[in-house]
Amino acid sequence: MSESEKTPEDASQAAPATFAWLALQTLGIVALLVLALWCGRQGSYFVYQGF
Amino acid sequence: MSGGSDLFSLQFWGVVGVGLLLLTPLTSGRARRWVLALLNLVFLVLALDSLKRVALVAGGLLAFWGLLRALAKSERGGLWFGLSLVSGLALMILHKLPGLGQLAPDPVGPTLERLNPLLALIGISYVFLRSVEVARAVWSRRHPPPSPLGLLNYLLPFHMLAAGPIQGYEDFVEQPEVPDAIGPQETLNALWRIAFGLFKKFVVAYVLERVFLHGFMIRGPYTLLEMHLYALVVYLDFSAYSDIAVGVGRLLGVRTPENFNRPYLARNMIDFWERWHISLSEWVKRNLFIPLQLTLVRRSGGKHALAISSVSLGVAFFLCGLWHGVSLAFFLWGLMHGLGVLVTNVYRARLKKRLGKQGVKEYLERRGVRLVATILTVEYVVVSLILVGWSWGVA
Repeated sequence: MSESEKTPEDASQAAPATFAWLALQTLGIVALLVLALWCGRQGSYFVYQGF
Repeated sequence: MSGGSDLFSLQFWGVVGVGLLLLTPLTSGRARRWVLALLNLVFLVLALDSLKRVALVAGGLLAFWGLLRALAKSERGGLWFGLSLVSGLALMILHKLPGLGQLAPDPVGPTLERLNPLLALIGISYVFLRSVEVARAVWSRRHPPPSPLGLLNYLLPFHMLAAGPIQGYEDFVEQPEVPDAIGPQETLNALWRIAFGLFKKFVVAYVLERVFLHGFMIRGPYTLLEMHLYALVVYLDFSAYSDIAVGVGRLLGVRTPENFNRPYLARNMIDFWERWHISLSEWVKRNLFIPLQLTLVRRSGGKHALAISSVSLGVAFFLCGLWHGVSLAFFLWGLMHGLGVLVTNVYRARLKKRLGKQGVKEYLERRGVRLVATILTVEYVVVSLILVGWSWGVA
């Protein structure tokens, strides 16, 4: 079903799923950041940085 | 590298945070330009960590702005363009040939030596490429010279400062003054790019580097494994930086070009350069390949089209190699990549002549052909990257 064919009912049913999806993505981002911060404590140097 | 251009520094993320707070509510293009310039300037002050250095960079920027104004007004634009190109090239050579200052007498030599860390901090290699873009745009009358503020925002954008991407000047000028507001999903997408970039660099690349890379000290079949992992680590590292820049750009509403598109799936060297450091290969196409090809076509009266396009590609990507560094390793690296794109161009033309357009399409769609082509391309790139590692003292 295309976006234009969706009824308001469909949209309201999709809303909680969207919220859950946004929350899940936020958690994923936090997890990646925590891991990166933990591993990158010793400082960063990118191979292409300022070369 | 230390200071504010370190992507783990509080300075960098502090400027991103302040930028978000200040830029998000703004609805005036003029105000956005000012705030962006202020952010770029504050970041420079933090990164350079010395007002003297900042004054030097600001002086250089104003001098270049003056050159652009002269370029736009003067009848002899070529002279001013040549002057800006030569001064930019001189700075590049000074930066790419460390120790050059030692050859000059006192006090010039030591002064030049002190200039080198400053050039590294502002990412002179990238600033030079952007300078050529804007100078050519003004010289060819495609655009008027930018204001000092516009020039600062184009040449020294804080999130693309240390390692690109290299935004085309057309792209910079054509971006909307006030970007559309971004919704929750787009915000999360941008945050994903940043988080994924940090994860790629500080977790995946870090682990691979720590566990498997030993400076090519272990001989035998292990060297082969290390060569391939080294190529993977370079990709993860560099594409991670670009991910972070693109993510930050999206959050701040500053157009930031994509730089990678699964390069190790490329099936030939031309395809590889359309996927690896895309903003650089686009720059090479716009500023080296096309002008060179046009000049040669004019001189030859339209004959030898294949030879001209192949030689132009080869020379352009050879020079692209030299941009990375003036050393034997980068000379060979440039030669490999120049030859790679040249041979691909000739091979593609021969294949088309032999099989016809439809025949080539069918041939290239065969799974086996695709697989062999991809493996050959990746192996070629892996070998060339060892030269880079050699130059950087890794291999």
